[in-house]
Amino acid sequence: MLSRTADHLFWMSRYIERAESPACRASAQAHMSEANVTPELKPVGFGAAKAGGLRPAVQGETTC
Amino acid sequence: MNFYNEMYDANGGVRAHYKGYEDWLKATPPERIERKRAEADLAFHRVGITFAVYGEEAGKERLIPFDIIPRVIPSAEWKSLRSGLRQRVKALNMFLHDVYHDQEILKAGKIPAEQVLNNAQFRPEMMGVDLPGNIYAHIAGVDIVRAGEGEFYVLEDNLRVPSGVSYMLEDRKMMMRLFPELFAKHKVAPVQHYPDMLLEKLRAVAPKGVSNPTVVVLTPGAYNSAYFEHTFLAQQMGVELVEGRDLFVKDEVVYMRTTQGPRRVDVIYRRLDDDYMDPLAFRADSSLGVPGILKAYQAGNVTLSNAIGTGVADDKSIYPYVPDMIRFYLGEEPTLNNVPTYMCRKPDDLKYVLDNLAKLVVKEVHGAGGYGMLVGPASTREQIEHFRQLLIAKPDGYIAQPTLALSNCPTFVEEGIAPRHLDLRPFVLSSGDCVDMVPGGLTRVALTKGSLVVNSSQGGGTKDTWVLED
Repeated sequence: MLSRTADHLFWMSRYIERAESPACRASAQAHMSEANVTPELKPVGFGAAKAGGLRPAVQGETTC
Repeated sequence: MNFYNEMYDANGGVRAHYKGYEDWLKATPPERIERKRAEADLAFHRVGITFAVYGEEAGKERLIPFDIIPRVIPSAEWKSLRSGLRQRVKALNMFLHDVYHDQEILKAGKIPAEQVLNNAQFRPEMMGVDLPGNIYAHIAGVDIVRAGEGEFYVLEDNLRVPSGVSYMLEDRKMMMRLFPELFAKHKVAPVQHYPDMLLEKLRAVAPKGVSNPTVVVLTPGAYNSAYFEHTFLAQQMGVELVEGRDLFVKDEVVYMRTTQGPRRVDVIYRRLDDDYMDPLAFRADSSLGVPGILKAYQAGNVTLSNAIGTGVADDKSIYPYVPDMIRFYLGEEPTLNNVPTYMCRKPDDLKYVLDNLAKLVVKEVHGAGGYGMLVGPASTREQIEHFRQLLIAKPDGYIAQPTLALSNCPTFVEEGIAPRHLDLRPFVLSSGDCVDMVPGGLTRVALTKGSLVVNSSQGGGTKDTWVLED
């Protein structure tokens, strides 16, 4: 295998690995925003979910 | 002008070799054809058979339009084309060997020496360098057009890095997938063995003493217009696709960097222009090439395919002399015709060209890809005047040819089926005494009504090319 190809494969896996942790955080926040949490925590959850590219789960719910 | 139609004769009857296809076309419901054409578009998109057009902003790459009406060549006609191509490519290779060695043809006065020696494509670095089998152009893409029954003209000999062979192979694959019933009825000569043939030829020209040569395809990178083809050929031949930075030269030997350490490279099928090959020898600002590769090449430790300096034989200013080359080296009369060419550097020719600009096709001597040319009968007065100024300013940069009545073939266009002009590019492979090619080649078709320019970069499409076996 060419060294360049190996190098590209390595970095591709690194980036996938790196993408995993923000994805986990976003999904956790999305769950939190669906659950019955205190009103002052809600915007935090929505904000993180939005940053992670997720849409609000509840219809009619406004995001911050 | 009366154009030769590939499918119908002058009285509107179907030519014998198109009979089977025409019957099929008539019997097939238009909805089915429409559906199949949409399917073909989708499939080409999925496979990613694209062509990048430089200077076009909207999307970096685009599909080459594929037409489902094949170009059919009867066996007898192909046999005569094939012998003409063999003869021509053989003579061109002999010319290149001669020009970089004893220069007999210049001494005999057949070609003016200054035309060759002062040519920008002439590489003095190649003087006296012996190549395996004395072959310079291992792969040649000769552009052929038809003007009448059995009347074929060579438009260009592409001896540097001819492209398009992947479209030839993909077009056939697509045709067989869409309309298998046609191939059950017709004896179409196969072309799929092209990559095997190419690999065999490349291995045959390995440096002396190498028994199991390592072949690679060298690409300028993903931004090149023919990158799809580079990946395609490397994958089909089962060899590595390398960029300049994957190679290095140590003690005049070329190696590629692999995960198992350096590995020696014997044959490089390079899809990179001479100018960019070696920053130490040619353009110093090239980051695509391999420093020191020319030294390794001159020492005979690696084979480049095609050789450095082949451009001197396919240059448009040398083109008019090819029939003389065939007579000089082979002692034969050329089978394929050359288009009569006016060389604007000659005062008499220039005068004629300036007087008849509206009738002629004017081309830049070093131009390619359909850029920088004027098709007199299809141009506006302003375009003609613009070229007149260019010609007067730099006559030796241009040649002119009469406008050929290119043959046409029925083609699917927006309004339905209409005749469009086409050409043919067979890919001729040489090694040692053996000159070979797969039957047919790439048929390009100009999709704009009346247009005579078939280049993909100018919006041309392609057709599958069938050589019928007896």
